Amino acid sequence: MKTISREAIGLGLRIPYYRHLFEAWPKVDFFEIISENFMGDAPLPKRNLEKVLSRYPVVLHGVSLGIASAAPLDEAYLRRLKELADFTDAPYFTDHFCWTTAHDVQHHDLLPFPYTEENARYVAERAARVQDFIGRPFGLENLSSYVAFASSEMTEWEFNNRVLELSGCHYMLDLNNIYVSSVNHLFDAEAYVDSIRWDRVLQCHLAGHHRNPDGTLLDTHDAPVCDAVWELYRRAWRRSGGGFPTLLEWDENIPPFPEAHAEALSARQHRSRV
Amino acid sequence: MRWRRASKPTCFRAHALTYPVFNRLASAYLTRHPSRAPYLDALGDRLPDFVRADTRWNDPRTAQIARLDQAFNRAFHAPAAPPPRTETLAAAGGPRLRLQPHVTVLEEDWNLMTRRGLCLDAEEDFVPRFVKRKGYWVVYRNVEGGVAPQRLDRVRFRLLGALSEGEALEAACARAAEGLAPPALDRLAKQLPRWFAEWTTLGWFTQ
Repeated sequence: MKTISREAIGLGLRIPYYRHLFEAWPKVDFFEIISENFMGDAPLPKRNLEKVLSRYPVVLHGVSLGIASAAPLDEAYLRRLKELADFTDAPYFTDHFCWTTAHDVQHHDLLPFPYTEENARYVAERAARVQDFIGRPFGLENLSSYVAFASSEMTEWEFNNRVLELSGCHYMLDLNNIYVSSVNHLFDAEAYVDSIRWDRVLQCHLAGHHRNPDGTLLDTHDAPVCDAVWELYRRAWRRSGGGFPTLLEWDENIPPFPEAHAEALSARQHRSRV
Repeated sequence: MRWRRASKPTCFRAHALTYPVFNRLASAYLTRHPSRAPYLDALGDRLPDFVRADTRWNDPRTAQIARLDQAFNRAFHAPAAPPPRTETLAAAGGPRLRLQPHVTVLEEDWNLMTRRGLCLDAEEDFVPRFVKRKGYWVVYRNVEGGVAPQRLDRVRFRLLGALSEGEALEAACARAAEGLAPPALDRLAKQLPRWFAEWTTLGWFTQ
């Protein structure tokens, strides 16, 4: 299985990058792909992925698993995911703390749910099964969310830690999501970061977001990382002890590859200030 | 998750339906045909039938736009079927050649294909005019895996259209020849082997 160092800095692989990558082959520590974009029958994404794999390690980031959905886990989906994980030899794979499916309808969105002990046990049992089936470390990403539930019995970070404790799975820690949700739900982002068990963190996400006129934030991945998120990053890096692979997501208004990569690499400067 | 964000402006720009119209159509369609799969490859597959069946959208132009969109989607995503075998060509009732699932033959009554290219190439949202103009196209997946539209003349459209409907090779050639005067028939007889050789090289046929 390929490995990615704790100091590694990567980018979410997006189509507009291909031309530059396949001509210049810049030095990049690793790429993260959206798993579902490479799980279909279309040959072109696979061909491009093969080219990328010839030079770079790749990790998988899924959006449709629905670990908290009430529906049973989709076995056909898991088989395809395992094929992709084996094909890429990904050192780990990730998805989100969310539900996506209800009454046989796939919503293609990352939907939140109440943070209760019952749900923690439910999610943990499913996550452990997924990790076991794929045969690689499985990381779950904390959501950016826009609603909270009166029935929640614990904070989001307490819930996430509980799931990881019960399941033996890992964290895909998104610092931009922590910041976005902390503004939207008025919680302490630093307390969230301070709660993290760093030995469970596979990777960290950074991204930009959009500020609405009413002051709430939307996780849009369409801008550079803001100062407040970099501040959280420095705090995370300091508290982690040994660091963690860092990845920049950029999904709208995507700049040319060198610009996006430079933004990702600026993480090094922030580390040096810790 | 960014798929919906990415696909919506693409549809809008490709067809210039305007956002309100596109949103109404998309909402109605997804209410009737919600996604059942973790992937979006086949999400729009029923759109042409939906447009035809629903009086709110049932105008020929929207139906043709939906069909064009489906053709591009299939050309990109459809699995490849096995190439033709000798026994298929020698089947009872005459040899048969079917088109690969990624190959779609289209007839348009407006400049839809041209407009699609113009809209997608434009830097900003750009709405060129609809021009009433007959056109024939085949949309397929090229050897690199990309989507390639190719303009057809009326004879080739009729021939490929007949094959896509499952007609035997002889009947498809007869349909292509309908109404042609003798000099054109002679030309067609000479062109047919070259066309089939080209289409075979492009990988359009299955058994």
